Amino acid sequence: MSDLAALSAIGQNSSWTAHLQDLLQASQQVGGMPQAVIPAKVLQVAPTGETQLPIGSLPGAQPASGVTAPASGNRTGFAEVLGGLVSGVDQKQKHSMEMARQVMTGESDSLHASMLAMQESSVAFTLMVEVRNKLMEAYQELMRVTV
Amino acid sequence: MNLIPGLEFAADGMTAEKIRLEVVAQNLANAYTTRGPDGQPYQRQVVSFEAALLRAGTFSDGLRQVGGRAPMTVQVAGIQSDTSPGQVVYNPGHPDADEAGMVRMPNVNPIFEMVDMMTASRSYEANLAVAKVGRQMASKTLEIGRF
Repeated sequence: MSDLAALSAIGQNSSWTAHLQDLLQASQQVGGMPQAVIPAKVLQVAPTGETQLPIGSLPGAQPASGVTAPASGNRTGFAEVLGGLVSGVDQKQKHSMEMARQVMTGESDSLHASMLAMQESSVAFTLMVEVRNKLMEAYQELMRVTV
Repeated sequence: MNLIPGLEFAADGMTAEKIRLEVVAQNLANAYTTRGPDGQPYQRQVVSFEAALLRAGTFSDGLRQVGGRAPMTVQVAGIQSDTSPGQVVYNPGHPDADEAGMVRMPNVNPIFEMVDMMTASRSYEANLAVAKVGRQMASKTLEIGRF
């Protein structure tokens, strides 16, 4: 983390550190990822509101009062992608639990439908775990970069 | 998010085969029913399947058609009576015997019903194998990322 502090202090205007800041802010929004404890002054992204900034030109002069959300309307970062995946998996799990409940209370006779729904939700959950593993690897790989 | 290939087709096939097995069970149970609610001997019921458009409308990866044909799944078209006459046996002591002592039996042949039952069972297992193999394919795919 001290490396990051040094990096951010040095290169506020460089696109590379802006990338890194994006990644860290995105990772903070996703539950399950380790919460990076970064002092507020380090992550200094100019709040831009609605305007869409290309990544390479993020200025970073003023200290923010806290960690702000990624300044984007429709930029898809890790947070959005992983959030969509998590909600999809959650829907599948709810569906499979609902079908199992229906079979067990006798409302439905399709045992095979509930079993197949459970398989589908299990595969989706494994997919989410694999995505999380890849994200962790990428995060650690980035952290290992020495200046 | 449709992760396991061929799952909807397998599920619909299993539903259809379950219905076929239930109709076979009904026929076998009523193989000697000489009087139904309408006063007539039991008529053998026959299931017919029809192809139906898949609800989701696409193969996986959003393919709407393969070779010009949309994905078709199976559904039970209807359960019709087999109108062929049953055997007439001489049994004057039977409560349903007519004046000449003849009783009309249902047109259910247990041999045919057993063969239909085997067909339904093997077909159900075939659809189950499709679902299993699909799940295995998905699980193996998710192992690409592991070392």
